[in-house]
Amino acid sequence: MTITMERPPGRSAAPPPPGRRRPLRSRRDNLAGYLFLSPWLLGFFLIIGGPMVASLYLSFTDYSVLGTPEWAGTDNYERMLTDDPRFWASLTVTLTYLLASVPLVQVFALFLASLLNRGIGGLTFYRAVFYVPSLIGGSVAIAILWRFLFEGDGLLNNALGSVGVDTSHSWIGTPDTALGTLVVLNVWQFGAAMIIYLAGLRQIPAELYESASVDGAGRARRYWSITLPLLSPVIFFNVLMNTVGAFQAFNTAYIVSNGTGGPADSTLFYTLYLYQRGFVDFEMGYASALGWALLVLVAAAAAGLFALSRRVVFYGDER
Amino acid sequence: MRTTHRRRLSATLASATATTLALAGCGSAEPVASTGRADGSITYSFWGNPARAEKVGTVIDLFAAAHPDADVSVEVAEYLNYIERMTVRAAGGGLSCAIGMQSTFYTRYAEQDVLRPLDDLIESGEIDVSQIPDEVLEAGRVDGTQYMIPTGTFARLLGYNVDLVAESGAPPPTDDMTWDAYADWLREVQAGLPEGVHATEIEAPNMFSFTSWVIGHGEEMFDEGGLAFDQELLEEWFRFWLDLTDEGVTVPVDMLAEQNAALELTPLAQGAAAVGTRDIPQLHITEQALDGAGRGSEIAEVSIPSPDPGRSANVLGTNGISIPTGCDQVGTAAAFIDFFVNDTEAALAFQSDNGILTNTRAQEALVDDADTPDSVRRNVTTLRELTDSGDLTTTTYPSGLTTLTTELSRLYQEAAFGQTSVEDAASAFFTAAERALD
Repeated sequence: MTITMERPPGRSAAPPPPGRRRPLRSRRDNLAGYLFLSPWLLGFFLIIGGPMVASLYLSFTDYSVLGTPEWAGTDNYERMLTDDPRFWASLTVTLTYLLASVPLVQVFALFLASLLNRGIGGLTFYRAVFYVPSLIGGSVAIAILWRFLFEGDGLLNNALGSVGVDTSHSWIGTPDTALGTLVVLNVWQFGAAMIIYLAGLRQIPAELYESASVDGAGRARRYWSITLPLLSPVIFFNVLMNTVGAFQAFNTAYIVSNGTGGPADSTLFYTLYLYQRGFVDFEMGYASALGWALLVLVAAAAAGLFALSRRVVFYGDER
Repeated sequence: MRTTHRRRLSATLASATATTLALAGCGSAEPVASTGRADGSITYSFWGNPARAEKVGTVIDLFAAAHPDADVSVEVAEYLNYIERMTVRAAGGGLSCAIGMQSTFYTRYAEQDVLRPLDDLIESGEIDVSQIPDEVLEAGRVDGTQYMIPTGTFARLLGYNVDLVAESGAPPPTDDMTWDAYADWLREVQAGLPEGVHATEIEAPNMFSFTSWVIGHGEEMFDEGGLAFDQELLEEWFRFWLDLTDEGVTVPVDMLAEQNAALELTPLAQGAAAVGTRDIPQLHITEQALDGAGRGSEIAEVSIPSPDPGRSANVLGTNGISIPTGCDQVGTAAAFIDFFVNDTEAALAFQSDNGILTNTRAQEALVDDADTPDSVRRNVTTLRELTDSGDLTTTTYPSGLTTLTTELSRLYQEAAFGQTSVEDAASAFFTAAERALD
């Protein structure tokens, strides 16, 4: 069948000839569009774009905040890569935290989402209870509570003492365990990921499970061959968001370590180190360089995940 | 078309950069001359807690009654947030007309022309400093120019839990201990303490305790070229505390995190350690917290040990008020500082909340006033006794002290946790100092 469409008379399909002005109505439409966009545009250029450009410039300067920036070329970047062991220490801490906490959050959140998806009673209640830590987990109050929980005579050691395990080990005061307590704190905030997994699980058609059962597939087989592939876009989304979040982790380490990243730099997250350089040592040029390096790192991690997703993420419309 | 877009984009980015850098306040303004009148509106920024804010509020009410044409509002923040905020606002040229400063960090602002020289205001009599001892005034000068009017002083001393020391069976400490005698005394205290209680906190990561160690050894902390003492002195300091920790005389090294917590949660305040250094006004806060912890009720103080008992290691620090270069209400700011320093009613209302008042006449009024709390009276009396006996010393802190404070703590922790040797930690401190004090 062939469908022929005719343009209404009086309307030209060709663009206006060069030099000819666009119709008044079109320009009015554009103006209205820009007016509606203007709050966002102003916000972007003044609050985000401008400072970003300025920080890019400052990253090539020696700038102590109170003085005038002095051009330093690539000194800050060279120093970062060749003459600053704390840069590498902070990167190691951040990557360790990322590699430990991101998978744990996914496993924990997916496990509970799968349990909640089995139609148990009081689902709304459990969902709310599990989500609460996500709302308050990153707060200052919880970070302070974490100190009381994991210090030498904290609640954890008291609880261990009550079951006969006497220890005065300060979990947050020892380099070997301090970062682990922050990983636990992050995993505890699994609620947001769990809600997203739960929504994803609800989208998987029940017929697929029924068909697989008829074909003799067991529970584990159904989970491996149906649930995980169909949930892979959601898993990818959660991993991506959690990875970016792990690179930006700051609050808890700042509060728990009193802003030092201690003990002995064991909780010196990258952003905390950046903060120290900028606002404690007033090396704002160097802090700007650290900021841009972080942007590159996050972009590289995201690009890596997207590249990986082409091989492991299954979208339903694929053939 | 593309070229036009690129030009537009370049122009936009250039304007954004220019605007942002302009907002960042590159360059400094010329100081404004005083009109000699207190008839403008200013803001007084300072660090502290709500209790201090309330006392400052009372002082401002008294100032308003004395200067009806002037208007003073306040801005208060916690200490570290305050320093951060001041720096950012200084960069943007938005500092309040009266700002709280401290001898440990004001040099950075003075050297960058952020602070207005105050000598003309002193010469004209707008700010009367005749009741402040010259050695205290000196703490507000950089290269002979007065940038900060000292309003309160503090000195670091050795505080000890009277009940715990008595319980240990050891005699009380004395003002004339050498560091070796002090270590022996700590061992004696430890021998008599119950399990889980330690003789002392760990002073090694504390920059001000280390300053006392250096000055007590007859060295200077800083000179024009940076650090003025030998690396061996720092190594000895680290080893002194590592040895005591190994012997179980100090709190365990994993309690350093708790030692760095709020004053009320420190081992000394919680009765988990019998001794620790504190500034004079902090001794009272520690004592109040100790009451609640149930292990003793009194914190007494003695001088910091010194290898030569004739050479004081009690280092004096100073808090004060400055006027930034960009202030356009200099007359009102000067009148406010003058009132804060010299008015007796204001002194009684403020009660030495941020260091012992520097005005000697106000000190006497505070001691004599029946409403003055005993703890405040004791603080004032202690500092006056130290001043009268000459058991105080001063030092000048350079820009970059904050960095060194962080580095000292971090490197000691690395040595204490066996991640580096004492020699390497001390060497790394000197390397960090080269950059920070450059």
